[in-house]
Amino acid sequence: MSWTVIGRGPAGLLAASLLNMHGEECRLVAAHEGTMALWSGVMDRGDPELLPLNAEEWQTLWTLLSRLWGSMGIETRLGPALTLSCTGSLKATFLCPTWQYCTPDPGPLWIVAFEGLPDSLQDIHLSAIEAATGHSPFWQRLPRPPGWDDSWTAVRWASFIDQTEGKFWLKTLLQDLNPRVPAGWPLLLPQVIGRIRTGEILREIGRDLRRPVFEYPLVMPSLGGMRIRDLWQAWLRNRGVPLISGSVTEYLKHRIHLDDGRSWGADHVLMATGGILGGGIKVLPNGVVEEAITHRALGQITAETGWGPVFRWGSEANGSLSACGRQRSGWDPDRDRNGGAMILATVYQALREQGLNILTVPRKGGLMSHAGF
Amino acid sequence: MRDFDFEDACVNCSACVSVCPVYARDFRFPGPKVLGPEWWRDSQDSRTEGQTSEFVDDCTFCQLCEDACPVGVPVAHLIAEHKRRQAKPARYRWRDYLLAHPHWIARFPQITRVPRKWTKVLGLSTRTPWPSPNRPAKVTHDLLVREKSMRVGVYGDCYTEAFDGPVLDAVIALLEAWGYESIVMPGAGSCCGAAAYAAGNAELGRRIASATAERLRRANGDTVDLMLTLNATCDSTLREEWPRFWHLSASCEVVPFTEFALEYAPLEFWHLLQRLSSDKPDLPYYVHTTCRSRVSRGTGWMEQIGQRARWTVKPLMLACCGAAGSYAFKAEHEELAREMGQLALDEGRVMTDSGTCALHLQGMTGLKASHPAYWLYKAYREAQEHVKVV
Ligand SMILES: Cc1cc2nc3c(=O)[nH]c(=O)nc-3n(C[C@H](O)[C@H](O)[C@H](O)COP(=O)(O)OP(=O)(O)OC[C@H]3O[C@@H](n4cnc5c(N)ncnc54)[C@H](O)[C@@H]3O)c2cc1C
Ligand code: SF4
Ligand code: SF4
Repeated sequence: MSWTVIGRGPAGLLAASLLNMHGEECRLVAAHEGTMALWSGVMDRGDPELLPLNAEEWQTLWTLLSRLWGSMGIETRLGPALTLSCTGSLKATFLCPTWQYCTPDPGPLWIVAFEGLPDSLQDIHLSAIEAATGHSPFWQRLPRPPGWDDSWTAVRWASFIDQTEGKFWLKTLLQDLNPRVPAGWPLLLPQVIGRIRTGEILREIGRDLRRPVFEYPLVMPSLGGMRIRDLWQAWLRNRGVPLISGSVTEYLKHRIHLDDGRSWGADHVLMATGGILGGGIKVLPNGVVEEAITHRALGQITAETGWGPVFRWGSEANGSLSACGRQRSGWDPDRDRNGGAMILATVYQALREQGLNILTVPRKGGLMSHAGF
Repeated sequence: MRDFDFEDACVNCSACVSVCPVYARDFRFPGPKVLGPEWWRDSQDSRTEGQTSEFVDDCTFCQLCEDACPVGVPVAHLIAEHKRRQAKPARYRWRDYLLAHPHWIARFPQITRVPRKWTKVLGLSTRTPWPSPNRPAKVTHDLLVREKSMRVGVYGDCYTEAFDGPVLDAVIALLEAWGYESIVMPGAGSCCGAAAYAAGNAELGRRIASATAERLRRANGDTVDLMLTLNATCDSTLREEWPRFWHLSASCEVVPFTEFALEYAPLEFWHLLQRLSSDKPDLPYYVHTTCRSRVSRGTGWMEQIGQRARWTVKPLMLACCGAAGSYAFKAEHEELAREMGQLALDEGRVMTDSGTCALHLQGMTGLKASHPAYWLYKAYREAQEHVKVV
């Protein structure tokens, strides 16, 4: 069976990974990078009452994703917890990379901002954090490092801290401040603590200061999502999944067509075509592919069964096409703060509609070993 | 100014910044958002006319920023326009003019043998390895398929024709073995215009490309439907930039050799290679998909070639290796280009779809680096010998 996944956001990356782990032949095609670089990588869960699937199914799916990320070198904390959003409010998660502050029971915090780092600002975070945790945080702002100029976005800060010079700058200033902060209070730094060596640097600072050290998220571009995106794409490439660049303008009779004339056959197609920011390419709920700015129609994705079953939750037989991620209707992750749960549930459902139930595939031994671990 | 679409559509998401390989390393480089759409907006203001940045030429024109942009801002092409408007130091003017005409160098490849001490004066790198003249030879080979089924063109790009002859030989020999008649087009000494465009001289690029389009039209004469490319930059320039920015056509379909091999090489060919791989396991192949290929076609084709031949394949995670056509040959880019291509690899071979990237990676890793056609042909010859012996 040959599979094509359209879209390189979290839903597309997850779908392609699960297919690959199950030994399915799969191609991933996307017009652009998805939205990974816009968010911190925390998988929002939202209100569990609102979610389909039972507790055991959820536990299995979250564990699967945590192990998948673990195999890419992304350590996570698994279990119900609260974490900070990029505006300082608390939100519910079930899976959070260990670089980010996340706890079932938020307490007092030591928060450090960097002068000259956009969005690492006292007025955005402090009152929200105080309201959310019920404690007044200990707050400081570090001065600009030598060499700083106004071209430093979060990405540049992270490159700087990855270097010995940047790490030294940070460690020296924090060591001076450390004695003034009550013991045991976790230290929160802006999410720019390296692009590649994050875990190592956070652990090293933690050892020096004898307290837990985490990051808090900033608005886009978001280093957390970038780290996951880069490791995830590398993982897929290492496992032989082609990452094709191109815009799908037509899907008809088991054939995918791109705008540049390329085409290939596919037994199953997963549409992880997301769409935020009001830009790029959009697949409308009737399958019309359009350029989102000009609304120029580029082509048509055709569902043999009509579009109702493609979007309905729980359909079993669905032709060769299923939607997942943000493209799947019935979810509003911006309102319900359940983007991570949406990604997991919709990818699970889309695969299931196409005949692969990742929860019931025979397990060879321990938990998840069916999935190639 | 050419007709861009969506040049003013930037929504400030910074996806472009998150993928730029130069921004990640060079702390003076303002990055794609500032140099592209922000500069462009500024340049539309008649009072400022867009102040140019002295660092704009540090952009490699890899186009990864443009690929990432969710709203289709032509980021890299706006930066090329920015480069055009930035005054160049007088001492580099002749060098840049020459490097914008790689086909001239290809006509007289001996020019690369100038003593190293002179290169500094000319503003050329003293550390980046230079290619040596290496023209294609006539090779003889056994046929795997007797009947010729189709005539395909091979785009003889300037670099491959002058410095990477064995790659062109390999392609012609493989095509013949697979049952295809081939014709090298458009003939020595042409250029697709990519080098001039990357350096910010789109108008010169268009003129060079127009002459090549005309030569291609004459060389083709409707006898080929398909033209194979051996270099990712020429490939995407011919297929995408020609029609989009210069209203030119290559007169036939343009396809990278790699994808053609996966689609059209006969099963017997793969069986031979697989047999050799299982009888005599060999060194791993490190795969570098060049940035332009990644943007234009995606990654994974060379990995599939390796998998089909049952080689051990290890994809390299470089975004842009720093070679970027003539970028690494310029003295002011030497350090950054080396930093971008820094790798420590165990024994093996490097497979990449560009001659200049191969040269650069060979210098950086000490491993033999070449085009997939070269490695396929080498394995094919070894497999034939092996079968005879067995
Ligand atoms: C700013 C922001 C922050 C968020 N933060 C969080 C968070 O912290 N935690 C959380 O859990 N959720 C978060 N969410 C919610 C949700 O998880 C995201 O929206 C999520 O990224 C959606 O992913 P996706 O894979 O469905 O789509 P996208 O990431 O939008 O990917 C769509 C992909 O499809 C491709 N595509 C579309 N059409 C075509 C076509 N015709 N041909 C080829 N390719 C095509 C695009 O190029 C792209 O690669 C956030 C959302 C936003 C907007
Ligand atoms: S073309 Fe490449 S080097 Fe230039 S700005 Fe874009 S991503 Fe950076
Ligand atoms: S990726 Fe596109 S929209 Fe986003 S900042 Fe860059 S140019 Fe602007």
